Amino acid sequence: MREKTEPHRKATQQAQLACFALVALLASSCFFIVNPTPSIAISDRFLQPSSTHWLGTDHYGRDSLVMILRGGFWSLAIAFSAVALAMLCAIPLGLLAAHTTKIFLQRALLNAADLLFAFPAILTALLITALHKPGLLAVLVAITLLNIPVFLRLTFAAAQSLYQAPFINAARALGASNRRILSHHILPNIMTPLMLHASTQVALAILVESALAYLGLSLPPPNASWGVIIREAQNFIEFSKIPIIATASLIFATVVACSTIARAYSIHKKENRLETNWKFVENP
Amino acid sequence: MPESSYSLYRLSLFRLALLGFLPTALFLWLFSILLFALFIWLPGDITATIFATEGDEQTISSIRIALELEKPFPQRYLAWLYAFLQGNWGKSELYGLPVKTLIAQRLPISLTLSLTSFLLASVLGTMLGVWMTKPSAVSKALAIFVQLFIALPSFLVAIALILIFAVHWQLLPTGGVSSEQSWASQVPYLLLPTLALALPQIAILARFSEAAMQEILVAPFITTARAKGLSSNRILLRQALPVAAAPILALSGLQCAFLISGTVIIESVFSLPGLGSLFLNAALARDLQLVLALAMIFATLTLLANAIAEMLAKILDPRRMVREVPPL
Repeated sequence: MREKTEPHRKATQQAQLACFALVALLASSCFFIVNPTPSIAISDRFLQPSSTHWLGTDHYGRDSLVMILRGGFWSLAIAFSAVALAMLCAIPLGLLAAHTTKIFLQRALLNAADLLFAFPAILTALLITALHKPGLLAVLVAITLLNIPVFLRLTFAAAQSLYQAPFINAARALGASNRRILSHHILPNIMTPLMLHASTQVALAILVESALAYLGLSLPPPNASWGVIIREAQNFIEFSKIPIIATASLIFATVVACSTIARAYSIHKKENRLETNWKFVENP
Repeated sequence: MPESSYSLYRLSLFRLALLGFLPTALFLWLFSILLFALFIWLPGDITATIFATEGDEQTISSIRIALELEKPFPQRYLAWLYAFLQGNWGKSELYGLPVKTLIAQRLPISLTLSLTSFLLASVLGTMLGVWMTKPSAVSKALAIFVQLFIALPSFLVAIALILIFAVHWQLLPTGGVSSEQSWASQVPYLLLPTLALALPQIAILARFSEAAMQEILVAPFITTARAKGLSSNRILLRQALPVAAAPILALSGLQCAFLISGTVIIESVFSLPGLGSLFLNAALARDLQLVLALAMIFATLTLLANAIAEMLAKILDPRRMVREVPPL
């Protein structure tokens, strides 16, 4: 292993810090979500920050910090589960597109992915709202549909370039079945880039979820995610700007943390040449 | 699968248009079937609205036959599609007006909003991206600005703009404009929404085009251009930018699609009477006729914008203007 370069070390440190911050956020929000919702106390509305209420109180007299961390749980939970669901659907489809010899099936899958990618998430959420009701289902389906084409394309590209690799030929010569090649040779090798791209997609999902929640298409209060908190705090902006500013900076920090992890990986890859571009490797 | 055995031919413009629009049209058609099926199978049809609780079964079934609700699905779908394509979009329950009139009233604001911010975003975004490739203090400051707007949702940018320009400095109105006003008097109302819609897209495009330019700036022909003694501006704008233009254009087509749907958010923050806020109100009030028409319009607009940008990108980049023919 050669010495790490300066930007590489810096990016790694930033990524470690980002991971730590994300885990801390998740842990503290989980801590508050298992406890009951803070009770409404109208007499304590819009208190200034103090030692008991670190960020003051909101328009119902509830502790702002607790409400924001509880909102963080919903934002993160929806974002993570939507991306995970999308990966579950998209990776098999992407592998199918890369593996199949039927050119029509491949084209159909990739074209459908491209079209779905241009299909706005907000439209899906609005449709489910009109047909069913606003809530968890609407945001989850909308964000999952947004992510499926991304992961399908990514899986396809990674798997297809991997199919040119000599070790796949070697495995085939040893008599490995298609299923064994897919599960033992292709899938483990494409998982790392997929997982790291997932962190970028989680960042995007948090942004989309907050926008949908702001429009009132996500979970209704008191299980409010960050978008709803901002929408409610906006009505009382003359009294207190703290909830909006705190929530906005948490959204910003989370998104930056997620993209820092992805960026550290891309620098790492560039310097270590983790993935050889198999297209340039001569077939033996 | 080995790609090298494919034969490559140059794509004719006709085939390019066919490849671009055919999947889009197919997707929209399937989408309309799905949409209509969902609306049909929803519990509680129009007879439930007409007779809230009373009405014996015979009257209801005779009404169902008169309204052609008993016919099989394909027949009903085709009848609806025929009416829809002829511009017969039904009547909104929420507003008590024909859907077509409502949409015609509100289309200009949304169209102005999304087109202006698209132009703003694509020109400024590309220019900033090109500028950021030059190492300087300004480009470092720009990178921070870009990061800020990438990581903030557009409704927060809108709220911040309202707080700064409308509440603190009181320069511009926050919202409330009617479609009856003349075009010129609408401009101050549309300035902030356009900016709020465009800023995140400018940031995304700037970062993307910077990355695309950086990739090209290491190519040998740039070294040649440097050796010839061309100025750095000329190299950036005349040598590198045309090569980077195709992926940038493809992304900005996608952004145009997002800008069209982004009007839903921005119009509801600034309470503008456009298509986006109409869609949100219709969905929350479950005004199905209106939702059906608006969903078709939004889907058509976004997918068309994307398809056109993809085709332009292919025309700009000869490498993508190829037809792959699988080996015999």
